Amino acid sequence: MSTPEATDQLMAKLAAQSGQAVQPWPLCRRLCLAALVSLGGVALLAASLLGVRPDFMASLATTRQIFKIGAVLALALGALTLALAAARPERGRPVIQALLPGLVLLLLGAALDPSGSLWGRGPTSPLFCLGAILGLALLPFVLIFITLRHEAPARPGYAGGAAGLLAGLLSALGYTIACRADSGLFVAVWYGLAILLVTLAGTVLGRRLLAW
Amino acid sequence: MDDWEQSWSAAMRAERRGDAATYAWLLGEVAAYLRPRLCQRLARLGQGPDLAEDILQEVLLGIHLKRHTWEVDRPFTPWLAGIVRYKLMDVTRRVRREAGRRYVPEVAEWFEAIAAPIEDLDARLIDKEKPLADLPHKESDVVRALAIEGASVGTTARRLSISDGAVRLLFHRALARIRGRAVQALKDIGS
Repeated sequence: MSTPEATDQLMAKLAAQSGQAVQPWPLCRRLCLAALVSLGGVALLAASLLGVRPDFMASLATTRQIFKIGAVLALALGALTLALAAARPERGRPVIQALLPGLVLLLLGAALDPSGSLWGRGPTSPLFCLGAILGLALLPFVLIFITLRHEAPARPGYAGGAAGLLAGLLSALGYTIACRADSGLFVAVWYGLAILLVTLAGTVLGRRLLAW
Repeated sequence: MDDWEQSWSAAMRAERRGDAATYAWLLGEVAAYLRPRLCQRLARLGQGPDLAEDILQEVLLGIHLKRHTWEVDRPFTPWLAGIVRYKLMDVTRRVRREAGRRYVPEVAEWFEAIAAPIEDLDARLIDKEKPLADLPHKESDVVRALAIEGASVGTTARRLSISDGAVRLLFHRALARIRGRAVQALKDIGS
């Protein structure tokens, strides 16, 4: 097995397969597509299963909703950068700072708008939001993992974490269409917790599913 | 490095067009680059060339199976280094799991080994081998393990299936013998 002759044979065998690898679209394009499809899917699911919040259009003009959507969107873009870098084998500089703008927005939102109970009731209860974001995250989670499965991440656990983070954020973003709670503090705490849980799941599953 | 980048990435592009000969050349280049570095490092750790060849095959297979993830407009050598690093880490983990207590290098050490030039070390190795040639087998084995590969007494004892004390004794005798020969050689030159 482990002789230079065997290695030569292996190389000959591999060379015979040259030109046969399927060339997919560039990773960047595929990941963006997966993100957009999941976002649309989550919004559709949220609208049909939970119902669009009645004042959704009006809420878009409120500061708290702008902060909420802005923060989650900025974080999602950061997570996309993270996942893109993590999916490659190259040793990259850590790009954690890509999350910084979103984090600042989220904390700023929480600091400026601590109104609204942290423990709302009914469809604005923390558990409801938590469960909704976790459940809706399933779709982006699967789509993003499928996309990354064919890559060669330098660290599968880290790549899985980035994928989970992105999935959680996309789920949260799509869910805002139905969510009636948008106080800054509520969003930072409960959205944050749900997204962290999805990130954790991604890290654990990434070690297995994204190893190559 | 720039030369490699150019010719190797050109070879990768040729692979995409189905140019088997160029692709075979590239795999051969990578193997020729990695093999001596892996062998040398593993020898110093008291491992045979078998493991080095094993790792090399893993790396080549990794390159092959993941070659679609290299995008032609990105530099190739960092990609390649990433593949090699991952496979080394993988093998290290596997071997460590299988071997339990046996020493296996950390990734950082691998890279230090692979990046370091080896010509001067090879030259020194050859010089060191010469005085060992006439020693009794066991003595030369012990000297090679302790003094050239840098293995510990315990490791050497286990590898040669003798006691620690015996390793020390053999090493002592061997050194005395080498010293005696050197003195004799000096006298010969003097007379």
